[in-house]
Amino acid sequence: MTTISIEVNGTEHELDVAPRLLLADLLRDRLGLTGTKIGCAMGACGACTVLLDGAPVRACLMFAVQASGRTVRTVEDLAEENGELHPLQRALREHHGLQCGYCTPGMLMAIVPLLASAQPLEPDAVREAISGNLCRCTGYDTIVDAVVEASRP
Amino acid sequence: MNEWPLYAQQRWAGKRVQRLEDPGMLTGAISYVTDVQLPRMLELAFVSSPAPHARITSIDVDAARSVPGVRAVLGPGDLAHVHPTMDFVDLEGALKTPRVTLPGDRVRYVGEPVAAVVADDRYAAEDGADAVIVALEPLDDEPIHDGIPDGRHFRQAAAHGDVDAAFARAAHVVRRRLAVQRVVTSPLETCGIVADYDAATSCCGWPRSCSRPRTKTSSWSTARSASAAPRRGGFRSRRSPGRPTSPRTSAPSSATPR
Repeated sequence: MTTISIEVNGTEHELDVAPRLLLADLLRDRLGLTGTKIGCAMGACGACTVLLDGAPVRACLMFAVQASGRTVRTVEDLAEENGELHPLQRALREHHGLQCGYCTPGMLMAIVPLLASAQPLEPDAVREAISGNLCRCTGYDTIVDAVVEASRP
Repeated sequence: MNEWPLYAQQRWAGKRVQRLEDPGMLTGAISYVTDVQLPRMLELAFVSSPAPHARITSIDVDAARSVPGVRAVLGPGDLAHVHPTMDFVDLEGALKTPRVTLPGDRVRYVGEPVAAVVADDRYAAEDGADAVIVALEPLDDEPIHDGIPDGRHFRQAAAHGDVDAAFARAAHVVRRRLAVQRVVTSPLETCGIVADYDAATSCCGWPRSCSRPRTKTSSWSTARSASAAPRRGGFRSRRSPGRPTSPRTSAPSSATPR
C-alpha cells in the first residue's frame, strides 16, 4: 500500500492505495464517483476521460499513485450544486447529443477544456477534439452540433 | 370512419419532448450495471478461449485457487447441472445449437468462456483467471457443430406468385444489386450482469424479478436467474435473459456462499 494525497472535485483526500490501482477504479470504487465510465479499459474509447490539473487524461491508463499531489476533476463537478447544468451539458441535451449516455462523461471532460478559451469552435476543431472518444449509438453529428453551440457566446 | 386518433391530437406524438434520463446521464448520477454495488458482492472473471474452434484437452485450476482473494474457481464440471441456453432467435426449421454454460469438450468461438473465477475484487478475479491453464487442440478444419458440415444454421426461400410473368408484364424493370450490411449491436457499455442468488426462492433477480421461461430447455437461464439490468442508464431492454451470459453469472452466484 502507498499513501497518496489527491484533490478530487475540490475535496482533498489522503488514501492508502495498492500501487497497481487504476485512477479510474480509485474514483469509482473508493470515492464513489461512478460517473466516470470504463468502456474498453485500454485507452481506446475515452469513456474514462477526466481532467488532471485541467487537462484530459484516460483514467483507465493511469495509476492512482501517478495522480498523487495533483488535482482531478470529474463529470460530477460540472453542474452547479443546485442542479443547474453546465452550458455544455445543456447543449448536449438540447441537441440530442446522447442516447445511452455511456460515452457522455468522457465526451464532456474532453470538451470542457476547449470551451475555456471562450472562442467559437468550428465543427472540424470539435471533431478533432473528440477523435479519441467513441460513441456507439447517438452518432457524432449531434454531439458536434451541441459543442459548436456551447462555444458560441 | 377511421377510428385511429389523429396524431396531432395526441399529447406527445409530433411534439418536442426532453428525455427525463438526460440530466442524470449528463451529471454521472445515473446507474449502469457496472455502478451497482450490493452488500457482499464479489467479482466474476472468465477464462476465455483465444481460439475460434478447438478441443479442450485440459483445464488446470489449482494455481488459480491459491491466488489471494479468489473465493472459487469453476470449471465445466462445476456447472454441468445448468441447462444450456438455446438459440437466441427462435426460427422454425433452424438447427438447434445449444450453448453450454461452460463447455468442457470444445470451444466454438474466440472469447467463449471455459472457466469462471469468483473473487473479492476485480483485480483478484483477473489474477485468478490469468492463473488458469487451459490446453487447447485446434480444430481448424472441422465443422463447428456436429452434423452441420457446411456450418449453415438456417436458410429460407420464399416464393410469392408468378414472378417471371409479373416482370414480363411490367412497364419498367429496374435492376439493382443490393448489399445489406451485417448489423452487430455493440454499445460502448460492455455486457455486464449483477447476479444475487436467493436460496429461498432460487432466484437471482436484482433488481429485475424472475422472468417467464422462454423454452423448456432454458429453465435455468430464465426462471432461476435474471440479469440485473441497469436502473436507467444504457440499453437495458436489449439484455435478454435468453443469452448465455445470464446463467454464466447466476450459476456461479448460487455456487459461492458469502
